[in-house]
Amino acid sequence: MTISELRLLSKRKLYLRSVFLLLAVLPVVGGLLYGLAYSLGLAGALSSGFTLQHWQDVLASGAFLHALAYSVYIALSAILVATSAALFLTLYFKKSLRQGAMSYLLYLPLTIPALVMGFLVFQLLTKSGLASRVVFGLGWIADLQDFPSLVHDSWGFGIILAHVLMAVPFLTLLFHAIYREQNLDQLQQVSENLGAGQSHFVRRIAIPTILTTAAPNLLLYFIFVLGSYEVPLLIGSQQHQMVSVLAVQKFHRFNLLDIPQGYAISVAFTLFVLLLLSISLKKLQRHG
Amino acid sequence: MLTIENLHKTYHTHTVLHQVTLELPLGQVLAVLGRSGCGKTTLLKTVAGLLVPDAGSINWAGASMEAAPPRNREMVYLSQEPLLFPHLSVFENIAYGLRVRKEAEVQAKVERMLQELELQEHAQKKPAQLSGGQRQRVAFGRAIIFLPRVLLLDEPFASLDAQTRASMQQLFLRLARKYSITALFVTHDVKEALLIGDRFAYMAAGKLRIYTSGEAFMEDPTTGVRDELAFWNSINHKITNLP
Repeated sequence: MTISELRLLSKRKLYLRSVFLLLAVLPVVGGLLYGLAYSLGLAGALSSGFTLQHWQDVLASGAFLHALAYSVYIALSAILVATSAALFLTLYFKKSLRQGAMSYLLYLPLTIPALVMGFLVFQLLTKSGLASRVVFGLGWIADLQDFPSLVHDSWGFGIILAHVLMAVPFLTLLFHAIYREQNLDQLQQVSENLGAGQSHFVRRIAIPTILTTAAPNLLLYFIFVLGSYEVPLLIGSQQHQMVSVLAVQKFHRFNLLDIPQGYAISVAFTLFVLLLLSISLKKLQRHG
Repeated sequence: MLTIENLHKTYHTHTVLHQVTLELPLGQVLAVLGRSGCGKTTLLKTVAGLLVPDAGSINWAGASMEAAPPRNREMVYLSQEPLLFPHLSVFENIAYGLRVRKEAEVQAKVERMLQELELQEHAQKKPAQLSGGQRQRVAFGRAIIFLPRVLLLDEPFASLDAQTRASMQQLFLRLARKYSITALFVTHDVKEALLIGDRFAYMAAGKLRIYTSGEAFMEDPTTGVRDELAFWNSINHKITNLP
């Protein structure tokens, strides 16, 4: 390759980088800076100069911290349950995942949007829903109203279930791919040959290998659930709100003075996610 | 003593092992020479219990291994690929067989083995941080640390460069003598077979021929030893006749 060709190549790379920055990074950083300025009273229709009042209001009310803790609880529960289910399917239904109906059926829930999944869970678990009617039909409850509250409940059962249903196929496909890529079938033979039983291999080799390899993806999925909006809006509790629902409520309120608080919540949540990402990725790199 | 009698194995209509019979006394290394696809890997995997033979018997010290699953046979198969556990350190990879057996003094035993393998300073590294030769040494240490009955080596050094391969062959010889390892060592390299083996065999089309002595092995034209010797003699001749 000649020097002029090399120069042309490096110029092209520079252009591509600039286009990437312009399309992907700039809107996000710009939005974040605008949100920060809005929350500090430096932007917006009702801005009256720099103030920390909106941030003080958000932190003093405790609503943000409560919503953040609730979001972490929902995301952790959903990821824990989904990971366990996906591990079980990957480790004990290997053949079915490679061929047969299950390998196709697994893709089906991936095509369902979050809003539709929330609606399906609502139809399934509400007091007048499908599960309630089945249980009533079996004579286990005397009235449909006796069916436990599994949507709009404080524990977020419905939200967790909806996210688990969406996450399990994705994680199963991911774990299955890791299983093959990491040669776990052959490692199982090695483990057995060295004297270990099936359960020892699963506990000491298969699960740690899959989880270590999948850790960055699990972290990203955790963050995705943490910031989810449609599902908690549809089947979440009135008492406990996830962060996105709380922020959007602030934006949509009649009182325009609440909008800076909405921005403060969004910026604080973004900073929390960035902090979580940087700490976790550093740890993962150290152990990787 | 390892005794194999009339071992037979077919895949569909293709016979891979044809009435294989051999006896291997304790502490001896049988070098099995053969080309790719001659049935060497199938033989080793069948002995390890990873494949089920269609007929024949495998006995250790007179006891049948037929009903023994691979994990109870203590006949360790070592392939060309080191197949180390990727998330475990070098130390933990080597300790695996000891931990499975809940043996005592794991720390001391592994440290001794690391010293033998000259891998002390790599003890806490992950397999991805090692070179090909180092990985193969870890796999070798992991296989012999709990002193298995038989070591089944399937061209273990084939993917290594010539220099690393030579040092691994020396390491194997040293440890095989020190721990009195009983081993079936499969290779397609004539020199390696001659260097490693106490006894010699040649495998072709699923049939195993055992030689009564090293000389008989070298004399047989089918093994290719004579061709190899002739080649090196001709090279030697050329060098000595250089002006």
